[in-house]
Amino acid sequence: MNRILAIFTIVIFIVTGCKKEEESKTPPLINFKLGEYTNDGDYIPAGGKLVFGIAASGGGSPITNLRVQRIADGVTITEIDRGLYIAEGGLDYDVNAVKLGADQEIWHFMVMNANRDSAILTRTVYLGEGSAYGPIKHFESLKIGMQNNSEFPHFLDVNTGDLYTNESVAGNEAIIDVLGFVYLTGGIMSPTLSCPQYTSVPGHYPIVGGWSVRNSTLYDYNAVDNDLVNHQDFDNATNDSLLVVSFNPQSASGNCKYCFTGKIVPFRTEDGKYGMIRVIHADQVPEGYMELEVKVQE
Amino acid sequence: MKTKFLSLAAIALFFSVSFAGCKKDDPEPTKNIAKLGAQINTSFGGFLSVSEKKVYTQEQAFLIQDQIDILCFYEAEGGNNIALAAPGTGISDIFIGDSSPENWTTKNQTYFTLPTAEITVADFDALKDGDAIIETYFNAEQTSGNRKAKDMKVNDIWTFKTASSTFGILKVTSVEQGEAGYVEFEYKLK
Repeated sequence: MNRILAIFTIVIFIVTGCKKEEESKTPPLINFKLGEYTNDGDYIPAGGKLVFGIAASGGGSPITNLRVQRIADGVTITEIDRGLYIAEGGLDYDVNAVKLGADQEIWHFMVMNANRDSAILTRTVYLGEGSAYGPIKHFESLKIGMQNNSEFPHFLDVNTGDLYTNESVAGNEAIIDVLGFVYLTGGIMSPTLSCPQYTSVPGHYPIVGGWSVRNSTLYDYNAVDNDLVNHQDFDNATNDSLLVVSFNPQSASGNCKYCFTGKIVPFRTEDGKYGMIRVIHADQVPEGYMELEVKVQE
Repeated sequence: MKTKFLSLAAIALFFSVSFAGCKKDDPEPTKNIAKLGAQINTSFGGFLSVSEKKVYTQEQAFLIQDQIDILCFYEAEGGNNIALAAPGTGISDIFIGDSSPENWTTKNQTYFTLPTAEITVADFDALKDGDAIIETYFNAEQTSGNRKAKDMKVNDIWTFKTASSTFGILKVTSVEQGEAGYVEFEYKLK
């Protein structure tokens, strides 16, 4: 009898000995920042700048996702869908975009925490009169080396057209938007445009793995694969209208493969600037280089 | 003998499970709590330095005027009751003595507003010091009626911005009305 009692006691304490505290289930908090931002009900002409400032707290749990969607005259476009892990300090983020030609745009800003609870904010923006397409910069020829190239720099700041080598990039990591490499994919060696934040980049450029700021540039791979931008339009672009409408965030990635000679690549930088790259030349060996013509918003 | 051994083993296991078996959680972050007394409260100081996270008496505060951001006072008139204000708010005929804020040469102005968006007590409790969202709850577009937070009640939530642009959000946890009363609140800073 005592033996049974002893075994029973052991089992009871093993099962109930540790009281699990209830986890906090407070949903995230999200709020608009005050300041020089686009307000609810604003009328913005096509091409006009939209800036939404948002801040969020995880509600006691880490923030794990930010999703921004634009519903333009009923058509939903996912502008940002980014996995995050923010355990301290919360999220402080400015969303930069350009007003499209839709009469009404409803913007949703959603954050999710590790408990998969979410919070959402909404802004509605209407189409203003006229247009506000802005000026662009044009860099006619920029040569970047592939990963094993020792002749040309590897890292490009598309805002200035400045190029940086493995050495000169020190201290300038936060302004790098574009880099290139070659790798075997789909059975062929692919000249590829990528960005510092893309996961596989440190495999080609180990120093990037140590950067504290790794920008994300998104490339519209669908426009590249299907040659959606023609060369005449690219040549004629004197404002940012074509740059904005050519980029579809639904088919965008931080890595754009098959950037062969003659391809035109719409992109958007981390700070929301739209642009296009025409590939003048692309080698298919790691020792090669790419020659790029770039048009980008000022 | 065998039964006795099993019983002893059970007792030993009980204690080991009780004292060492549970995984310890991370320690709770320290809360910022301020208990500010009104003008004739002799138990608690009435002057808070947000940067120092410390409460001072009127005499102590007089000596470190540039560090004082928030004070507590009671005034039934105008519905102020137990209220928070700042040295720069211009509270007069409330405090007495040479060290009264009216006589200070440095009078920091802290501004108070209700939150720009609804925030519950549970929401407040889930916030952490340093969260970016804290700043967004301060209504920077409010330009009047923002020099004091009046008639404080338990679970009221207010926001503030100090002269050195530290943003805060506070939750009232305890109040006693009267010139000898006090207000206690928890605050979180950005």
